[in-house]
Amino acid sequence: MRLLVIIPAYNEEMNIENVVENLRENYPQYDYVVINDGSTDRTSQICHEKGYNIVDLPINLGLAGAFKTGMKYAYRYDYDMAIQLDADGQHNPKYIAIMAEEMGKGYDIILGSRFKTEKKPFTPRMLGSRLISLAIRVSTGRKITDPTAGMRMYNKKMIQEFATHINYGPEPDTISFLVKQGASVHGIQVEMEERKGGVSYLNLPRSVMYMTRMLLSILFIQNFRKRDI
Amino acid sequence: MSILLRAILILISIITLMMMVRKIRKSKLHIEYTIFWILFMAILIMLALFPEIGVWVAGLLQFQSPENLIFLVVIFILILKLFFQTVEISALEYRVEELAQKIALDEQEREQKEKSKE
Repeated sequence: MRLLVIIPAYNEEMNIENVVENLRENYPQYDYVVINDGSTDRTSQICHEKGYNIVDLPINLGLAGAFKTGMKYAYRYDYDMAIQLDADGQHNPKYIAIMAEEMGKGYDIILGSRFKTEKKPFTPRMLGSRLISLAIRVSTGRKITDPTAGMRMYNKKMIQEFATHINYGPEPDTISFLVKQGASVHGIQVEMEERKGGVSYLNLPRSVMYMTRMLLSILFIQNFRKRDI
Repeated sequence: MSILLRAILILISIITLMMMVRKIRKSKLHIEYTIFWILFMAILIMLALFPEIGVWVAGLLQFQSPENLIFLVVIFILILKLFFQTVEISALEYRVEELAQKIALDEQEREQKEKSKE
């Protein structure tokens, strides 16, 4: 089984080296690809100097577009599984093996969840997470404990679907849609690290926009979508 | 319809048309995209020149005044235009994305091939 680690990176010059070196040294059995989403800092130079496997997008497409590029890469080179690993170092690759093992049981998507067995704290940020969880529950009847966590693994069928269709962002609304449409999704407990350098993309206006988009999408729009595969 | 409203309609229509022509001349605009605006302006000018049309249709649809009818029609046409423009922008964005992704993947493939040749 061939597995691809997709690392979308936008202005991650502070973290990208640590993330990729860790992967290359400690997990050489996995193929990886860095998707540089039109970064304006030294992310791309660092990767080229170090000889990392990198795809340079000529323009900034946003996370969904960058991730889709990774899925297209996986599709082009015929990988069996693909996992998203954030370039800020929050995702620990030690869980890849566990997730791949779970995938072997026949799931379409394995979600890395911080709250599968741990309790979800009551912070403003987690309030958003709770709302999205609730929306997915209302929409699909399934409980997704950590919908916003980006560490998700996809099987071959999903790789093709993500690579060739519109509106398949690596976001909770896509997961909700797929669950609703009969994809088999399973979560496992993971720990996540704090971001080591650089700045997070999230601020208050962006968070409000994100929440509005997610809730509208999960509760309303996805009901009208057709899954043609 | 007041003379003032008629004058404003005609003035705005003519200015818009002039701007269109200038953009076409500077080759900043596809002609296809000006057709909507030209027709739209033509309708406004017609309504200003022949207010009887507005009065007649307003009576037919039981509007209080032809002005109300004109405002409603203009707003409705603009909403439609905006909607279709959103659809177009979305399609364009999709195509740009597809192209960027293809370029990036091809570029990586080319680099890998060069590396393995060395």
